[in-house]
Amino acid sequence: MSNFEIVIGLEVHTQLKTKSKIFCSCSTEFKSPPNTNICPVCCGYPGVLPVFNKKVLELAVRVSLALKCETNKSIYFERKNYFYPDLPKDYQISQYKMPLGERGILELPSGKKVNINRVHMEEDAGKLIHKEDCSLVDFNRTGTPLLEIVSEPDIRSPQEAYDYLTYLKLVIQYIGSSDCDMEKGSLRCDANISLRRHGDTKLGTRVELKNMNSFRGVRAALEFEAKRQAKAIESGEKIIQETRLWDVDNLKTVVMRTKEQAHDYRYFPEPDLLDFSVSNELIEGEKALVGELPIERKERFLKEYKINQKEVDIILASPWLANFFEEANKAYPKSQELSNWLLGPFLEQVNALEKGFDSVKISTQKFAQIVRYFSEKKLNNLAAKKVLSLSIATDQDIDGIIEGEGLTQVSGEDQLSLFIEEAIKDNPKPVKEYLEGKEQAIMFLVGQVMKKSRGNANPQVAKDMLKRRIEE
Amino acid sequence: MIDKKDVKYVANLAKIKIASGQEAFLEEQFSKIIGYIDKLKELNVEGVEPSRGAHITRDVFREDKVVPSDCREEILKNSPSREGDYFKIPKVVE
Repeated sequence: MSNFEIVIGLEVHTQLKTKSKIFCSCSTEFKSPPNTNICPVCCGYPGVLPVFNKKVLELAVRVSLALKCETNKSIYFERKNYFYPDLPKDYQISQYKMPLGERGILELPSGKKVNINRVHMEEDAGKLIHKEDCSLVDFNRTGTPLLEIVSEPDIRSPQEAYDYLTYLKLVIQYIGSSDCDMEKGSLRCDANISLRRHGDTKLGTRVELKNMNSFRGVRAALEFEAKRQAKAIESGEKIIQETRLWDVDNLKTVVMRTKEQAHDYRYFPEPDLLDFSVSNELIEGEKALVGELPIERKERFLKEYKINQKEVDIILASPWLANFFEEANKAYPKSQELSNWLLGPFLEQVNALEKGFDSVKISTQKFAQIVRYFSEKKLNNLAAKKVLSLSIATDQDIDGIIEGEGLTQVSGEDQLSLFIEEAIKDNPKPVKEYLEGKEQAIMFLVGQVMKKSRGNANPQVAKDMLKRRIEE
Repeated sequence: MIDKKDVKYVANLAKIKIASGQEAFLEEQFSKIIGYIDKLKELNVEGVEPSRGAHITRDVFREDKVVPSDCREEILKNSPSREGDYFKIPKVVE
């Protein structure tokens, strides 16, 4: 393996986040029953005209800008002709000679720079379900807007491919152009891989890999394929330019059984659509929405919030969490405390919620309030967690919960001192032992106070108060 | 120029069966069409901006609004074969 350099290029298809399809008014809802969101336009009936969804252009321009592509000022669509049952028109409206964006670059968190060949808009095909004796077709997805992002063959290992995908997804989610949810099919990836001897400048024969359902799948397929090709070359075989499918059950790649592998798509300009201008106004508007990329945000987080890199990485892995953290900081600028609570009890409780972040209702102010109460020792650890669990999916009033649950009474020093008096009165022996220098004896008394408060006392506060009271 | 092989290739791409004996006829027609385009190539177009049509308008957009078509049944009815709400077709293998 080490005799060869691995050369990888990736093609990513991502579904742009629109309500309606790219050329007709059908919904893009992916959960609809089969063939619900179909119409004469997306089903390719004669005599219909596609009309371009403006939102698609806006979201696509945003990605083009985020990937630092040169965005073309005038674009048009072309027909890519091929026959397959998931394509009712027998051509896919795509872009060919004049893509939306060209010559971009994506800098990964590792510092690795991957050049982007092009980004272009196109419509998705339908879905086929294969049964024993027939195939079934669902056209709901037909005409869903896609953005294809083609990298240059700059990627040098399966892991680097994985890193590229992870970061690309993060960027696109951040700018809001796509959900990038592989399960919903809103992000798909094909890979091209070839090997060459170290030092060679000419690229080897490439193999296209398809049918990977996750980033891990992409990495595993590339790892398998790199080994397969290395073995083949070492034993004097020639690599054939072909498309291979990742077989996730058997963890290997297999040759695709399609008759027509060398496609001749006979592209030509789509005569049903006019040219489209990408105006400066549109570009400026989208530029403002691209804002700060994750890598830039990370640097700012490290500087501004002074939390460690590991924490920043976890927070930034979810745009939702990152925004929540930033907002909470406005309400209570103690970043470290917020981070501790966010990455600890908060995430733990979110994970237990049915819809994860989607179920969270608590405002950033109220979350910050709980953290502040804990810091001010108004709530102990257990009580603060309880308040959080009661407010996380409801956004109930924090003071109301504390009052209602009787959590505040035992947290205040007044109530605590009552329990402390009792503990001292009821346990003269440990008190004596402590006064004689047996430090450990105090812990027994703390335990008694905790018991009386039903676990709601702050143990550190109880310990301090006990010591003070006994030493008086 | 166009030969029999080209005719067969294009027919194959278009998934059209050509009756034997038609090839020569199609070969001749193809050649005429290509010949016509070749004639256009003789024109001097220096300094002329490339264009893909005589469009006088551009930038025709629609807003991102969902309008249900409500013609699912009618479209499904046109299918020679269906299973539930799916179009049913002979099995295709990837």
